[in-house]
Amino acid sequence: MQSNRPAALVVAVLFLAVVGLGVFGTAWNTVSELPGNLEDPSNIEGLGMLIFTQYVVPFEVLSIVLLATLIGAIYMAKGEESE
Amino acid sequence: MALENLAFLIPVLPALAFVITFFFGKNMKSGGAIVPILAIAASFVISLMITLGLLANPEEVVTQSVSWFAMLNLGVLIDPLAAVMLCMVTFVSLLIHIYAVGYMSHDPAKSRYFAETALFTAAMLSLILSDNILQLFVSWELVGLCSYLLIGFWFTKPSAAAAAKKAFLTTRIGDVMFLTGIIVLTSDLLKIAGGIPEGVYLLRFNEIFSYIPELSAMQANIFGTEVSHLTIITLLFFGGAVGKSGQFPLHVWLPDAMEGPTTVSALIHAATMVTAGVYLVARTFPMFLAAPDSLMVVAYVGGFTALFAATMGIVMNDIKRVLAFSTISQLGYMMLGLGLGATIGMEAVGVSLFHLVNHAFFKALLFLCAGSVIHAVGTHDMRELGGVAKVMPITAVTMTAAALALSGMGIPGTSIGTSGFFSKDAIIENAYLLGEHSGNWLPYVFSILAALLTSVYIFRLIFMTFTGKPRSNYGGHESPSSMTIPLAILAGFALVFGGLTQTGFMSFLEETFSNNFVNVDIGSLAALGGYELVHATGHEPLFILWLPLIVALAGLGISFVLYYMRAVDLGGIASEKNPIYKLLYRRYYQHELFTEFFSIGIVYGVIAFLAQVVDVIIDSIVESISIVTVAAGEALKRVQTGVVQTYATVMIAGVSLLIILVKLIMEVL
Amino acid sequence: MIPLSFYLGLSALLFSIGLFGVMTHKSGIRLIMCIELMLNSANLNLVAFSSYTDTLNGQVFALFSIALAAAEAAIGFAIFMAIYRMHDKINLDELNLLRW
Repeated sequence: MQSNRPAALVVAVLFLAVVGLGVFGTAWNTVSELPGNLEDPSNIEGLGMLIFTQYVVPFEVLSIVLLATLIGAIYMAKGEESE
Repeated sequence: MALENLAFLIPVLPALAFVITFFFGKNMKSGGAIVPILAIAASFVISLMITLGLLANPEEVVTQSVSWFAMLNLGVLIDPLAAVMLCMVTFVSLLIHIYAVGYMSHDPAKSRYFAETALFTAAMLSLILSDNILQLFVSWELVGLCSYLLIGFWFTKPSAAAAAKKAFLTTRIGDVMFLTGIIVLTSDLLKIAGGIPEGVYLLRFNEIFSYIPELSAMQANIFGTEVSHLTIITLLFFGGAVGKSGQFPLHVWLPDAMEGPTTVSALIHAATMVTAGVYLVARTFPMFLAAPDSLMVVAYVGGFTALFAATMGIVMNDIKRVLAFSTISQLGYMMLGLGLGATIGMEAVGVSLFHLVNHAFFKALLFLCAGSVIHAVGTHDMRELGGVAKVMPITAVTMTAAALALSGMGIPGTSIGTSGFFSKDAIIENAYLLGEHSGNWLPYVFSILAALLTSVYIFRLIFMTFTGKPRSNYGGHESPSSMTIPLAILAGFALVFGGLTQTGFMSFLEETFSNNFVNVDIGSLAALGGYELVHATGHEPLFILWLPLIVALAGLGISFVLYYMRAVDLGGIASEKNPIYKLLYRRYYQHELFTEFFSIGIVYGVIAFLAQVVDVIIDSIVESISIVTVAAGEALKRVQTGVVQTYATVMIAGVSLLIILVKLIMEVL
Repeated sequence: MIPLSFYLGLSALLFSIGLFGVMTHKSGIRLIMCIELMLNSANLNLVAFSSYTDTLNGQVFALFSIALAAAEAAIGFAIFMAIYRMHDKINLDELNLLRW
């Protein structure tokens, strides 16, 4: 595996170069100023509103996924010997 | 009239019968034969009513047309020509179906048989009443398909399968020519009309006929000679007819078509298949009329076929083969009759169709009689028969009637005579006229010689089969009444139909083109062809009128002496040592010529050589591909290290390179 | 103001580091840690875009993504435990059952 290291480095640098060129070569269409509510810089409230209104269905699906993951992980990790 | 609106039912009913019998026939009594019989009977009734209506008013042609797409339509056209054919086909087919109930009673695949014959009849009917050339071609192909299925009905027998294939492939040569003709015609019509006109179906017959002068004016240069497009198109159509109607040199499939059940042979020979070629030429006759070269070809091919097939007919020992060659010969007469249009104009259609209908009656009768004999006795070989008349009197009498009709016995100048007499003599006399007016005597000579031979071979068949002592130990019994009644009906028609309808028939058929196609003017068409028409009505010398009868009687006499009295020992003549006999018996070696020389000798040799070359080339290509593939696999399998991280590395590298590649391509573009 | 590109560049760098780790480390545990690194670089992207377009959707996605990362890690570790029970090792270069 040690022999893999230079190749991995080359590939990683190549990838970084490709992505970096993409990132710095693109004119990002962004707002000119960061939103400035300087009294209350937190946006937790906004996030909470979004999650429980617009994204409530994905949120619930995610909870089911997490539950399934929990059950699956426990089942796999527990193994058979503790039957 | 309401009945005329039912015209489209004529082919549709048998087609429905095909579906019903094919899918449900197995569970019905006698294979569901009743369904096609009823359907064809209904078609017959409709056809007959329409024909009677037409007889009263020949101008009131039945036409129906449904737009299909663009320049094509599906249509029905029943003019006198089609009406006569419809009645004949439905009637003969009906009788054959009834007869087949008895004949096929022992066959386990009855329902398949009746389904296929129903489809066969449906295809032929739709061919007859189609009002455009493309629909006709589709039905034409369907007829070919059904003939393939039915000739190979006993497909477990290798000879039947081979015969079916031969019939299919041989007629296919003609079909390709026919299709080529249609393509040339269509492209020419589009050129003349300058595109697809709105609301006009270019390929309808009356449209085609209205463009004949333009077609005739179009010239093509073929091998340095100027040929009219019309001549090319008609010759291609005639090529199709040659294949379908078993004319020389594409007749080779017809004798082999005997491998099917005898009823199928009767259907093919009398009603549904071989007449299609004659009908095609008759249907497009105005085009032929404007192309005199094509008509000459038709006359010569027809006359030659009539003689050529008759010579082979006299030496065959298989009862059905004699009849097969007889059919080819008679079809030759019909073609000759059509070819005479160069002299007698539209009368040619009447003469030819008259013979076609008469021939249908007596040829169906001959086949059904032969089938009756085969059914009862169990052999085809005339050398093993003899004295059958004692066992099967009805069959013997009806078959003799058919033989009289085929040989054309009758008294000239009166209306006493068998059907064949009136129609065949009309053709022969008109052939004489052709010789007189254009100096082409060969067709006349052919037809007279063929008349002699016809009489010889058919009475040879009668004498060998029905008279004398049995030459082998066969059982045999008279056939059931479901078989003998159709025989009797057909015998009646074979004897008297010609005499009864002699004059009315031809003038009725001439109405086809003189009244119903407004755009067709016979005189101007003939002028395009560049010849004058004459009308033949008994101005020939007396000798010419009597000659056909004389040769027919001479043929009868020869057969009587040779095969009844056995006055001459035939062993010496009819042996393999006699080169003429051998030549005829081997059918001019055409089978060898076609199969062994052409196919095996040349085609197979070429193919074998090509195969070797191709073998080497393709083998080396294939092998090198496989070697490269295997080697590449051996090399590339090292990549499959089984270590997930290697895969991840390669994948990321691949994605990065891909992005770079895409970017580069975008830059270049 | 810091341009968006800097955040994205940082994210790309983090991702590449994670990638390098995934490609080189033998231990399954470290592998999963590196995968987490890559996932979080993606989260950083989401948050950066969210900020720079003045919407909160991206941050919600980031939250979802973090939750999914937890699930993924849990499953990953469970799989490694199962593998360990079967082979007594979790060194990935020795687990070459997929080999030719």
